Amino acid sequence: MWTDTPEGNQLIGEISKELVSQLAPEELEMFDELFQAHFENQGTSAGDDEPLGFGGDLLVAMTPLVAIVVESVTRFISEEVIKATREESSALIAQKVKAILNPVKEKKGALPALTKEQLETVRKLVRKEALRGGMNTKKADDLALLITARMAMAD
Amino acid sequence: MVEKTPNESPPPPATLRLNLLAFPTETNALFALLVLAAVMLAVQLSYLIYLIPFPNAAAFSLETDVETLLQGKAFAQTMRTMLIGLGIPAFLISLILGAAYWTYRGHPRRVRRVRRLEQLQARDEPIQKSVEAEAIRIGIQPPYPVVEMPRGNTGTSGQVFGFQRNYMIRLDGGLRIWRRIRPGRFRAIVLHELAHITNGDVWRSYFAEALWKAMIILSIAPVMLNLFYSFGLGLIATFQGSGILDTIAALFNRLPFVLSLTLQTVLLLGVIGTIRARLLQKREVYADWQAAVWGSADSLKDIFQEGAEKEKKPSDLYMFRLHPTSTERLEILNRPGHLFQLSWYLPFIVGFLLALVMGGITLLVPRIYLLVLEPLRVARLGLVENSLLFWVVRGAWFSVLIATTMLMIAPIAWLISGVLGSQLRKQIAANLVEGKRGWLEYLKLSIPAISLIAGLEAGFWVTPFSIFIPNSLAEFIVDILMIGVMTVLAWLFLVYSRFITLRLFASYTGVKLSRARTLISGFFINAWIFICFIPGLFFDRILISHAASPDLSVFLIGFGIWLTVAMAFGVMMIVLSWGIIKLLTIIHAPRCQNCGQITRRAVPAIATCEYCGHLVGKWLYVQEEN
Repeated sequence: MWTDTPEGNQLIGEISKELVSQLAPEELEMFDELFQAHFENQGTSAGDDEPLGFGGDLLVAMTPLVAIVVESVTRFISEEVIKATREESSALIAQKVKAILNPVKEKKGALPALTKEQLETVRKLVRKEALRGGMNTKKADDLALLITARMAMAD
Repeated sequence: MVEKTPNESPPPPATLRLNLLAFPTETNALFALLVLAAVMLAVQLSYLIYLIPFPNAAAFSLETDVETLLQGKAFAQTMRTMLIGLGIPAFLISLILGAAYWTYRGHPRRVRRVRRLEQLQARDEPIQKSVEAEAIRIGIQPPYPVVEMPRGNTGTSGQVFGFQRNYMIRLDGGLRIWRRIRPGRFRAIVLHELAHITNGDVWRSYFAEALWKAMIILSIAPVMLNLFYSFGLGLIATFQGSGILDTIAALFNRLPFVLSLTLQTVLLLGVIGTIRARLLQKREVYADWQAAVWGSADSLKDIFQEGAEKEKKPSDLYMFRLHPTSTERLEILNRPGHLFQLSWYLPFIVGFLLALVMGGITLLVPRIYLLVLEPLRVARLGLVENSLLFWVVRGAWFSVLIATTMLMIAPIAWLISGVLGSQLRKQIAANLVEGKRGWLEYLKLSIPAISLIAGLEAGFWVTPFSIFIPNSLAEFIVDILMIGVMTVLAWLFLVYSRFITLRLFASYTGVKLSRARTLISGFFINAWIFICFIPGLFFDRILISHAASPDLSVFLIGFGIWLTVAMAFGVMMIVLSWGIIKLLTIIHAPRCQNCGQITRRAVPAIATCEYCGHLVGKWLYVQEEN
């Protein structure tokens, strides 16, 4: 899949960094290290109810989770683009995916539009992944809104 | 009177917190009570284990021992009975404590294995340095705790483990990240774990955990033995040619017995499991409180706020969890006043554990009497009656009798006052600050008094084959009546404890808790329990067990005499303790710790000085750090 290529990873990294700068700016200083961590097993560990343990388990940092969410969204959009443009070359598909995910940076002319249903699916996908990764409901909603708003700019 | 005069001084600064640890914490005594209850449960179960396969066994029955004691049977026979009667419980006590100790010693290995901990790599050295810096700041003496972490960056918890002078702190991998991006949270978790060390929680918590595991095995043993006896032997008999119908009939005969034993065991383990969980939960919130005082209040609230947002509805097994929910911890940090209250739950636990202790003591006492008194009785037989030596030996016999009784009952009194008295002191401190005084506060003590007796009854009912539960309607009626009497006695004990504590500590203005006043209050409260409460507990059970007996009137008269003497003693104690407190106030007039002037504030312990404006006494408050 294109998302697993160095080019795909670079795009995921760029978008994640932009989102982290808005959601958790204190993590920017060690963004690269935290972004690499998302390839490892992330999220919260098993519950801690050991004697004299601190108890509970929280999200370590936003960056790895944001990266996981962006990766899922990228994968979803890639699949949608592939479905819509079967005959086009992979380079063109990559360009369209980039255009949807990064509308400000990419050329205006290359922008395909996502339907309202697709945007809603993205919103739900982001929310689900964020909650699964240990984000609280409010932050998960914020992240979903940020990502879908950004893609809606492609319309 | 202290209670009638309002405290006119302005409130202390907001950075001062009422010191939760100004008094010895009640969980220490509760832990000791839990251990004693486990030991006494072992005594009762040893009797059961022997009794199940041999229901008519006389050698180990209490009645045989008492009869031997009363009738003065041959020395050899007495010693043999005593050895059997004490040997089996001693073996089981050794077994339960040995198993608990062995599990406790193995806890560091288990934590390391389960959490896959490793020694710190060079890149994690700053983490060890941070922990050491905090340990030095709060006054922990070297050797400092050693940090161990798993690989990776997941998890945000910590855990202290190990033994004195060799403590270790587990920090999850995610704390490597937090130290850099959320240093406040990292520090809060480290301080929470260090608070467990300074609060003396480590060995108590891991030993309580180990004891709990040993108790599960010990409690299940009679059930399994019984099931084997009831069903296993029946099956063997069937194979050996007994009629199948006979076997089924025999099994059905034993079914109620098996079911009641199983139900009692499940209930017993359930209640003890809850007690163990509450004990450990309490120590967690105390560690939170201490970490907050050391300057991590905001970070802890931040952590618990996030945890509370994620928190689902507590599961049904919440009561067995070792940690309160994030919502509860946040609530307690915001309103620490909860920690100062004497709720209904603590007296209930004390009552429940007391029931287990009483059951064991009742089985042990006659045997211990035999052990220590029989040699003296035999020695007396060979002496000329009314000779000097005869009276010396007889005096020794009575002295040993009284000393043995005191040695067995005094620890119970100490544990009751250690738990309830400590929490009551905290409640009084909070009441003083809130201005809650007067007779209504005394009346409110009826709730913990009712809980204490309810816990006691619950303990009797769930102890397998308890010798203390009523077996007939007459016994049941006497039981109900005695519940009322004992509740009043429990209330009187709490009232007296409040009376003396209030007067001793409200006027004290030192820098630290006064050792002399603690000793005086401890002495009087213990004496009250020892004379005016505990004998009533045993009398109560004797009356119930003789409800349908012609001897009831004899025991009723005995109870009446004790009650009269105890109440007269109670009045004497009130007068004496009041006099001593007055004398103390005259000799040591309350002085401001800042300017040295004698204060005339109504409640000097919590007041600010009328001359210099500083706090008069410092012992009841603690400064919150940044």
